[in-house]
Amino acid sequence: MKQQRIDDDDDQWQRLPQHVTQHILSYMPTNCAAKMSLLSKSWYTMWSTNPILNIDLDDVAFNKVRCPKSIYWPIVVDDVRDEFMNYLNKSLKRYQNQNDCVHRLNLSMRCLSCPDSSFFIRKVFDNIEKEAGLVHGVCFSFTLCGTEHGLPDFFRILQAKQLRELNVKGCSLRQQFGYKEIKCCLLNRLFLENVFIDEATVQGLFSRCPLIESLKLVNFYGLQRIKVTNDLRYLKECVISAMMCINSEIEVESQSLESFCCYCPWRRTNLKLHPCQNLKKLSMHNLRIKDIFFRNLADEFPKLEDLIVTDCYGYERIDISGNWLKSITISIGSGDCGF
Amino acid sequence: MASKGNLTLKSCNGKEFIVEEKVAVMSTTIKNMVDVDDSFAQGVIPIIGVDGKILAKLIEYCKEHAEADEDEEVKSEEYLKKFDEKFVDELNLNDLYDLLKASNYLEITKLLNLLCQKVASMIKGKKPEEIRRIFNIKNDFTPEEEEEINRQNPWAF
Repeated sequence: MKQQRIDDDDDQWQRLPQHVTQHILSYMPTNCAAKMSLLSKSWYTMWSTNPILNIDLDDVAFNKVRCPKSIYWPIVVDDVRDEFMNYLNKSLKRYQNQNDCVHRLNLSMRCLSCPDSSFFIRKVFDNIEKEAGLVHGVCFSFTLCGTEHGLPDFFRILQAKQLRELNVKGCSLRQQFGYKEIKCCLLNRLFLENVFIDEATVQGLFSRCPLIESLKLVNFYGLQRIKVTNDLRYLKECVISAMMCINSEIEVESQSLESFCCYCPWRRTNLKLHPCQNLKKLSMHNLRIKDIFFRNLADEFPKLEDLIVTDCYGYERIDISGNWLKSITISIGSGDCGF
Repeated sequence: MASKGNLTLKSCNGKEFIVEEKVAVMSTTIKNMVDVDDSFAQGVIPIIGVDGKILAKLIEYCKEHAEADEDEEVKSEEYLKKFDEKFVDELNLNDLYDLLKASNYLEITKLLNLLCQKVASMIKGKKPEEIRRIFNIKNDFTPEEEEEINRQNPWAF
């Protein structure tokens, strides 16, 4: 027999904890989530107080004219822009009035190259600057842009003092600005993917944001050298993958680091990994490794549990002693192995 | 009484489940209980507000994921993805609601994310009236209020 539920007629979904409902909203496209505000008063409140602001300009622009996304969006953005900006203004103002924080601001759009989009982004940054104390996490994602398109006024986002997480995909971050303009000193997570970035910007970020715990640089251009030092004294996780530069140099020296992954698309990348007291997981792909690296493993990385070495070269003999390792994965590129 | 390494979970309608500790501690709430107080590890842990049927579902999910965390080769990422898909597809709306509530209370973050995603995908692309009907939501706006919301955010509608 099927159990009859007492609350069958009730609006049980409204009684879910607010953060759960808002979590659900955060998985929806911007305009879908906004439509939820029409359902009932409590859904309106949940939508309008959601600390996760998801702004997908494609959703907004294309919903309005109901045309397929394949059409170039700047054509349609004009009539949507003002009213949408208005909404954004109001939202950010409301957070300020209620002293709430924006836990995360996701901004994604398809194309950066048109003048309209720069205007749009500048307006968003204007808002963020005004309410700079409130924004905790920012995620910018630009698809189909390519790294030649600069994110206008990028440094302004780095002035959000409460910023904890920065996530940028698919654009150029090469700009002229001084270190002192970087004020997001609480930054905890930095993810850059498919970006063009220069050495001064990276080192500036490292020196002004000492609290970074998680650092991921994936598929990036414009850098010859990366140096991660003990200045990032809380760094736990670091991924440096696909540095698109021949003869590049990566140097890592960190006492706090627990996990390090380095992947190189081309040979001739030079990795200089200093002893890391706390390293538990090390994974290396397509890198030159010398025999001495394996011999010194136990001394230099006393806490290492997982070691993954794939397609590396330059070694003749793998000589690992010690039984502290939980797992070793080695796939051979070239060189003879002996255990 | 559970043997060492196992925990006994008791649903609100009195059903008892003996599960491995590594499975039970997928729930942060249970993990905290066990960490703080040893007596929980030996005795029976009451799971308030969660009935036997839902608790069995929760355990099924946690078991797969705990085993996958331990041995990536037997239960690969792809296997887990398929399992997750099947898991949420088989749920009816009431179960989905109960599981959401329970996974929030027990702090099983991965499952909570999965369920939220599922609900979001059920809602996407539907008209407000349809959503109200599916989720049994009463429209408590006056027509004027509704008009006002439409006017405020014309970009969305």
